[in-house]
Amino acid sequence: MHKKSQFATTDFYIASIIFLILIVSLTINLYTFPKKLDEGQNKNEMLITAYQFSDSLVKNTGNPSLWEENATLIKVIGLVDFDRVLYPPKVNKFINFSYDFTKDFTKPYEFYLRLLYYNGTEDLNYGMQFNGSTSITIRRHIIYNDEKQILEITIWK
Amino acid sequence: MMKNKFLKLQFGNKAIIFTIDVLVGLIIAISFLTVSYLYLTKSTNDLPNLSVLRTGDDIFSVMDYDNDLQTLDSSHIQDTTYDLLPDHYDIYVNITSSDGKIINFGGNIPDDRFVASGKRYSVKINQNTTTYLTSRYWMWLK
Repeated sequence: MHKKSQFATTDFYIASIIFLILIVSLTINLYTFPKKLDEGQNKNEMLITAYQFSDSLVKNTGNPSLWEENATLIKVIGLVDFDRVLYPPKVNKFINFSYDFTKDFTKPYEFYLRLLYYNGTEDLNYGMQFNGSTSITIRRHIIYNDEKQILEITIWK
Repeated sequence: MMKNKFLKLQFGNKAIIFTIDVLVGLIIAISFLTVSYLYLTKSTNDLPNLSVLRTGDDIFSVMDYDNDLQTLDSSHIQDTTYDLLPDHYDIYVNITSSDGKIINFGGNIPDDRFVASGKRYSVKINQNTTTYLTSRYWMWLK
């Protein structure tokens, strides 16, 4: 009789410990998974913003197409006059805009862009340098001033 | 009447049955937790693959604009491609022209990872002759 009750008590303790371990690990899983999902979602949104912004810059002239002549009319930003060929007057106009104005193109994220030669030296930069918690950088191959260069865009928050 | 014992243990078979029960229960519970954790955390994300596709598209657009493709010079096109190609990428290129020239170069296309492919049509005008070029490329991460 004593042995049976001792056995039942030990069994109860072991079962309780196992149950607690399972509950704790399940709770940790349920707590961390939404966080991971959010992080992944944020990264994806930033990546899509980076793709769309870079596509807009290197694949279209903007709207209106001669926006550099009257920047107040600008609706869509674009820096080329031919596919992947940056038009210097558009680039000059763009980098002379205030950052407060241009950051609306990547809202709600901040951006920083650089034009790089293939040897790694920088031709120009514009925007706000990374100073946050998450960033995405993509590189596009373009022609600027008759020279092959890289347009590097960093989207961050 | 004597009960048949599964094992001839001092205190009967109850303890071993409970132990087996616990072990089976544990294995099932841990397996369930592990599988659900792996399934939930290992989600496939294809978005970064778009970067490979865009890089290939950029490279061939730039080479088209600079008339690198129009030279139909295998070594020149190959050198330019590898100059523009980021270090962590590899590429296979196939260029055919309407006058019958074929250029092939690059690595072996892998079958164990994402491979982006694209096609670009270009034209080469040389005095009175017009040649049409079709450039196909396959790009992947090394």
